[in-house]
Amino acid sequence: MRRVAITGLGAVSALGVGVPEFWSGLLAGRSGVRRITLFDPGSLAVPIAAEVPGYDPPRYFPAKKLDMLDRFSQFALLAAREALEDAGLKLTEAERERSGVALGTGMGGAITEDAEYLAVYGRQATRVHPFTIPRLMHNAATAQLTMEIGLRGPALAFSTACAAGSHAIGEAGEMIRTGRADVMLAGGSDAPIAFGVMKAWEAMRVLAPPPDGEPQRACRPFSADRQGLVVGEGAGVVVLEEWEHARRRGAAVHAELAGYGATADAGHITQPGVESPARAIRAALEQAGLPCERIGYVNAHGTGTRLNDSIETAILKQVFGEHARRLAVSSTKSMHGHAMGASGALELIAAVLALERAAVPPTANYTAPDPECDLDYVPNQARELRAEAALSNSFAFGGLNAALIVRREAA
Amino acid sequence: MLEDKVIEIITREQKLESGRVTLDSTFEELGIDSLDGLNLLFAFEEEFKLNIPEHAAQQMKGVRQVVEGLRSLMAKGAAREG
Repeated sequence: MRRVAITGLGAVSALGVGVPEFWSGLLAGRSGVRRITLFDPGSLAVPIAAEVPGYDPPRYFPAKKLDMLDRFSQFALLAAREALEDAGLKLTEAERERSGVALGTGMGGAITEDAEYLAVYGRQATRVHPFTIPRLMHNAATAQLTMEIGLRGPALAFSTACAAGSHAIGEAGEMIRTGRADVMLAGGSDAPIAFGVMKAWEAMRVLAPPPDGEPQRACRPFSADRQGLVVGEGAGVVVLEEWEHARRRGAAVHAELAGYGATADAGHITQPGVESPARAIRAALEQAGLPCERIGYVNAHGTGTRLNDSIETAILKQVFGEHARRLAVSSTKSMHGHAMGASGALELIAAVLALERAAVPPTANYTAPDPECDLDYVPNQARELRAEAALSNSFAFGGLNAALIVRREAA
Repeated sequence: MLEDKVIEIITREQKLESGRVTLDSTFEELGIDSLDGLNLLFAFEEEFKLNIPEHAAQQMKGVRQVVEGLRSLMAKGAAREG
């Protein structure tokens, strides 16, 4: 049976551009949530988001190329470049035909769409920019990545909202397992901080308001006083490689992508269920061949809404039984926000690093226990922990669930 | 001058070094593909506040043809207004 190695990591998040910035921010418990700067948020009820700080596109892309790239594609390319560099992968022409891309996105080119709608509806413009479609289509980031790197194997875009990055990584792993590819660049990206999108989130009444003018304290997953999620942006990309392919070239393996489960609630369009997410986790455990006691760390979906966090706690208790109390569970969304289709990928990277560095990032802004959330959420302080395996959960709107399990590479 | 403005727009949109685009340059020589062409049509329409119909757009395969095409469209527009 073919196994899947994770040999490269790349991250763009509210904690900065790059994995070192991401990881040091997480360990410090530093939140990247702040007042929106991408547009004037004055008329928004919730004017905060987890923006990538100090991001300057011309630093990374020539002007001509930038014309064709929505922000969500830019983030994907940056994360992929870092992951490839980290993997030290040099592909031959033949290998390029066995190498592909799987990227998730929830909203695609939302900022492009917003700007062009503003032009036609708001300013009554008679035409929109001719690159609008190639910039905003959900597969734009996937396509741009195949072109930049020259990958000619299977290339797909996944659009499963908040679980898109996790589904992309899970399915990419299956492509390697089943022999359809040897190398996959997989992950997710989103840049949904546009006025129209923020209004739509506002209307759902799930956004956390900034407490006392302190945006960084807004997202408080699992805490008794949690009030909702904070919209974020960014990208996470990993290099997945068939185990022997990685071994032959002497690649350093971060971890094994050991298990993946995907299920649907077939229930409600926004309210999460318990049974189906639990089945996704069990399926991932089964594929990994791990009894649940071997999982030491869970990077939770942990959005910070009243409903998600109590239901996710119930899901973990159902799957792990007594062991649930011994799990270290944290929501890094408290720091990088809910980066939609990028979330699952960023969180898998956090889980991989937790195994590799023997340290668990905290749940930031935790103030008080909630009787419905009574597990160990690693409040506010990172913790040393040498775990054998870790689980990353993503439960999307629509009731579409993904669970990924990574196992520490035995030296 | 219309010629100068057209050359300036092509240079700006294609991110070319100044002096590269002349009245005799063809789109092919300048590496302008069909998608770039759409972008240029959009830029001309924005700059000169006119609509470039499809049959006119198809004639524009070089700088001189663009200038002639735009001049003719402007003349028609002026005739309608007058």
